[in-house]
Order: sequence, then structure tokens, then C-alpha cells
Amino acid sequence: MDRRLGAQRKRSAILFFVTVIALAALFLQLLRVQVLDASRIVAAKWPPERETVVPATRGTIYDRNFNLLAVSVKRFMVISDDLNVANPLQVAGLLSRVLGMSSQSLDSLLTEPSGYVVLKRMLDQAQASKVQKFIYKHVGVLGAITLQSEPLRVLPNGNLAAPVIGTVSATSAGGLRGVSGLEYEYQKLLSGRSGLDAPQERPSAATFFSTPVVLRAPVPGDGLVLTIDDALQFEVEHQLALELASSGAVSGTAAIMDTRTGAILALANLARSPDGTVVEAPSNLGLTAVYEPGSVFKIVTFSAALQNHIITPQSTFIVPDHVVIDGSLFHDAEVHPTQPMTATHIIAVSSNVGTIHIAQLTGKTLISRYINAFGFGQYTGIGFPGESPGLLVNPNRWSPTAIGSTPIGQDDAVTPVQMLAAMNAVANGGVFVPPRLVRATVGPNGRVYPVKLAPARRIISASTAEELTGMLEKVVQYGTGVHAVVPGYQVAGKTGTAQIPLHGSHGYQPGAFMATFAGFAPAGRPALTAIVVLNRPNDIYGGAVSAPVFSNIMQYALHLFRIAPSGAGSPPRRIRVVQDIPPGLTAAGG
Amino acid sequence: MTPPGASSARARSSQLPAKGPGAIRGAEAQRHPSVAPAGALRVVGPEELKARTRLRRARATLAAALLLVVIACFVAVISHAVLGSRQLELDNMKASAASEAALSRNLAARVGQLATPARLVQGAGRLGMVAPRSVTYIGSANPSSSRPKAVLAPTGSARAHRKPARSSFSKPTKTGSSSAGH
Repeated sequence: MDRRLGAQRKRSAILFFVTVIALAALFLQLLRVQVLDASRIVAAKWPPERETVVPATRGTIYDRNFNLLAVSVKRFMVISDDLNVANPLQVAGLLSRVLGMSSQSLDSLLTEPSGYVVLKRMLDQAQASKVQKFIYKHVGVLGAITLQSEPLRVLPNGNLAAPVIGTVSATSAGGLRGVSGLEYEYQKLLSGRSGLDAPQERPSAATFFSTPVVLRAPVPGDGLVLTIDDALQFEVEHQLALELASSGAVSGTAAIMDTRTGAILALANLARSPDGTVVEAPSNLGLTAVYEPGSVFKIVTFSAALQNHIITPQSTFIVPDHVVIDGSLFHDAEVHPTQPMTATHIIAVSSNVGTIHIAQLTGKTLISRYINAFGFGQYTGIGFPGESPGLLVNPNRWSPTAIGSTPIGQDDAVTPVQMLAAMNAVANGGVFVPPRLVRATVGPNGRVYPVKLAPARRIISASTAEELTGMLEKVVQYGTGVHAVVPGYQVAGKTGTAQIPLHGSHGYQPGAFMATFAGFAPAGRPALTAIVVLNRPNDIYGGAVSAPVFSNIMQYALHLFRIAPSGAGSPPRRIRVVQDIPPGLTAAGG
Repeated sequence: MTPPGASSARARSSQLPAKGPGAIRGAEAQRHPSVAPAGALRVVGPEELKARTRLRRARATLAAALLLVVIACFVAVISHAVLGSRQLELDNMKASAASEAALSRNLAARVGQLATPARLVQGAGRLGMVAPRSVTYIGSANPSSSRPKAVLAPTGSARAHRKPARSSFSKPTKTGSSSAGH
């Protein structure tokens, strides 16, 4: 009995120790794999041919109200490994039912000598699921057919603001890359970081888990909230398209800006296609194309003169209808007798001769300084690829006739947005606010991070801006810009009709003009500033073709943002800078 | 040198069943309850006591350590198994979340397409809705009020609003080629 008990104890002890040793070994191995060598194992290179790049979802682009302007969705394509298709006819017959393609076309695709043939693209999730089930069901025949995801950039508004938003192209890794516009400018922010997957497999390469090992999780791209308002953008493009169609202009740009913040609320760029239809311009003309602005540029000359007390709005000059400077003839658009004109009247009727006279009194140094102060010849800082800083003539190399041409908007070339920003500085009480197109970014966690405003700078005094505003109101009341009137509102603005220079030689293209109107409303307490530029309209004058467009879009914008008509004690309502944030997005900083 | 009494003690003890020191002490105590058996019992020195205690403690510690190792191993194995199964569950949930996110983006894009200004304008047109021909502004009774004295009446698109009547301003004719004007 005792001996048996002793033997039993011995066996138990042995079993116990064996178990303990085995478990200890297991534990030590676990410790090695999970803790000691974990980093080395994780960092170990997976067989490269088995790795799969998982493209990150590209960030969404919203308008200022978080309406979608561009969003990435997943689509699928059906791929065939033709080298492993045993019976193309049978496969074609089966697939034709689920893909909705003819057997003949499928048969020709399935007999190509390639291991990668795309049979159909852009299947949505439901279609892809249906096809996948069908493949599983007939896996014996359809073993060489697979589904592969592909990204698609959806623009819910179609081509609305397309030159601003930009375009994307597919990359070899299955992602999207911005190639123009804001898609290009914010590529790094929008693209995110692609991930890396690998199948879970035994050394025999047999997959034993359906889900792959995530070697590196993809990080989705950040979202971008623009300052553009999609409803206003639509209306601006609509009005501009109507004018392009009726005026026969080759192209046109129209933009509206929030006077206080510099936020561009709409930026339309349209062009006439060879068949005569109006389409989105191939590029953002408002920022990338330069032109001689013409008389709208006179606000710089008048600002310099007013600010330096060389003139007052009531200063009177004897103005003939033409003047000769260094052998070159400059004249007004209308023939008129030599007559006394106030400075206000000179700008209201856009007298070139009167303006040149004021410029001569001001001097080229001051005028050059103010051209620079208004931001011409410099990048606006808006952050757009291909933006032009404009072209300025070096004041040290001004020709003897430059004092006649530069102050009236010739010689120097500017972009429409530069001109808009300059007009906005007058509207904003003499403070130049850099224009901007991006209002905020949206992190992957859904938080909204407002973009900091670029510093504003004062370029003329508030009193000078007020005086100039009063003069610009006369332009709309009785001068060259009467068609810019907005019923119920006081509008201030300036017309511009400029010849288009010849390419590669001196002089101007005969009969080719750029028609501009830039202005703001309500003149008493400006809230919105806008510009309309038409390239080669049949009716050449800015006051005739651009001003009516300005009137329509400004009226729409004032109503849209519920800005009350100006008048005593009637401050305009603020534009809603912070809009309701949609579910899933939270404002950073609480 | 054999100590006195050692042989007799050995002789006595050899008659007893060999059951170990405890048994000898028990038998002696039964036989001579009032007399301590000479030679069977002895005073154990503190050193010897310490050594035994140490041995006992070492054994207990070893047993406890082994037990802990076993428990730890079991816990580790079970945890690993749970971890593996949860990882699978997590992977499935991640796949499901990714699928739902993709669906959400698809639906958001669809909503975006349905809510575009172009579609809304088209729909309004189909319903016979038109923009007002004119806009009426209602003045406030108190013009000095800090509130806006004029309130905009509900309006539609400015597109349908009549363009302002062209004023008496006559469009000038271009007379030269070297001036901008207007």
C-alpha cells in the first residue's frame, strides 16, 4: 500500500514537473514572441510580392456650409486572368448574365494573352457584392475572375467651380493624386497615408484567415472646407454663362468676396468652347490669367492722390478730351469740349485725361508705391497652383509716356482676384485683406480646424477710403457704371475697358477688349465686394456687359446672406462665417 | 569514544519498529509518560532549526513559484487564445466599419447630388416656381433704431429679377486706340 502510494506520488510528481516544464517552455516561447522579439518580428520584412498597398481614402472637399464639392467613393472593377481562363466561351456566357455585357464582347476580352484584363469598371458596392457572390457560386469556372477596388472622385455638383477645385488622376498604387487646382495644392493634406496589408498564410502559402494582416493601417486624408458657397457659385456661374452667351465673350471671370474676411464666396471661370457652348474654363482664370485692367485701375491713382492730399473729391480741373505726352496721344472715350470737372466727376465718367492730369500731380513715385501697396505685382497668398503675381513695369524704367498709361490701367497686368482684392481694400475702410479660398480643414477624427486669417494691412486711411467710396458711388449713380445698380442698395464701383496687347510685339489687338466691373455693396457699410471680367465681348464696355452681371450676382448674394439695404442706422448683417457643423464633425477647440 | 548510555539506547531503539524518530518518541512517551527517553530526545540547536525552517520555506517557495508559473502559463495561453479570437472579431468589425464607411460616403455623395443647386433649381422650375419680378422693402417705423430699418422681403433668384432699366447714360463710342477709358 505504502509502496503503491509512493509510486503514485512519484508519477504525479513527474507528470507535474513535465507539465510544468512544457507549460513553462510554452510560456517562454510566448514571452519571446509577444514581448522580447515582438518588435523584431513586426519589423521583419514580409515577402514583398505578398504585400498589398491599401490606398487611403482621399479627404472630402466641402463648401463653406459643408455641402460636398468633391468626395471619394470606392468603386470596383472586374479583372480577368486570361492566362488561367480554361473555357473563355463558358466564362463569357456566365459573366454576361451578371455583368450585363454581351457574350461576344466578353469572349474577346477573355481571350487576350494577358494575366490582367479589365472586364468592367466602376461597379458600385451593391453590384460588386452581386458579382462576388456569383463568382463564389461558380468558383469552379470563374476562378480566374476577381474584383478589385478602385477609387472614384465624385463631384456632386458636376463641373461647378471645377477650375478652383481642380482635378485628380489615378495612381498606380490605386489611389488618387491631385493634378490641378486645390486638389493639387492640398495633395499632401487630402491624400492621407496609404496602408499595407499582407495575407495571413502558412509557409505553404495557404491562406488561413480571410482577413489580411494589417501591417500599416491607412490614414484617411484630411478634409478641406472652402470659403466657396455652392448656391452662390451656381448663381454666379449661371449669370456669367448667360452674359457670355449674349455678349459673345471668349471667356469670363466673376468673383465675390466677403469684404471683412477676404473669403472668396464664389469664383466662376467660364470659357466658350469651339462649338460655341459655354463651359468651365480649363484653368482658374481669376488667379492664373493676367490682363491690363483699364480704368478700374484708376482707384489706385485716386487713392494715392487723395491719401497725400493732392486732391479732394471736390478739386476741380480743366479737362480737355485729349492730351499728348511725349508724342503719344491719350484721349477720353467720348469727345467733349474742354471743361471744368471735379475729381469725383473725372472718376465717375472715367476721364482718362483728367486722371492723367491727377497722376502727373501725384508723381510716379507715389503711384508706384500705391500700386505695390494694393498688392499688384505680388502673390495674393491665397495658395493656388499657377497663381500669377501679375506684371509690373519697374518704375525706374518707366517710359516717358508711362505717366499717361499706367495710371489709367495700361502697361501693368493684373489678375482679376488682385483687382478684386484692391477694390476690397477700399470697401474695407482702407485695410487690405488677403483673399482666401480655404476656410478650415477637417481632421480624420472629424474635428474642424479653422485656417488662420492672413494678417491684414492698412494701405490708405479710413477717411481716404470713405472719400473714394463716395466718388465710386457716383460711378454707379450717374457715371459709367449705372447698370451695376442693385435695387434698394447703394453700390460703389468702377468700370474698366481695356485693350488687349498684341502677343510678342508692341501695340494692341484691334477690336479686342477686356470689360471689367468691380464694386461693393452696401456702399455705406460694405459687406460684399465683387468683380466681373469679360474677355473680348462684342459690346466692349465694362459698364455695358460686366456691370449688369455684377448687379445680378450682387443682388443674389445680398439676399442670400440676408444683408439689409444700407441706410441710416441699418448695419448690414454679418455673413455667417461659422455655419452649422454637420453631424460627425466637431469644431476644434470646443 | 562512545558516549555513556549510547549502546543501551541503540539496543532499546532497535527493539522498536523502525518508524522514524517521531514514532520512537511516541512509543517511549507511552511507556514512560513521566520520564523523558534518554538519547531519543535531544535539544535541537537554533542553527539546526533555522536550517530546517529554511528548507521548508524553500520547498514551499518552490512549490508556490511552480504553481504561479503554471497559473501564469495557463493565463497566458488563455489570454492568447482570447486575444486571437478578439483580434479576429476586431478584424471583422474593422472590415464591417470600412464597408459601412464606404457605404456612408456613397450615400453622402448621392445626397450631395440630390441637393445640388442645379437640381433644386430644375425641380423648382418643374413645379412652376418662379423668382419674384420685384423685391419689396418694408421700412421700419423708427428710423433711428439701431436695428436695421429695412428688412428684406423673401425673394427668389436675382436671375429672374428684371435688369435695371438702362439709364439715359449713352454708351460712348471708342474714338482711339491708345486709351483705355470706361
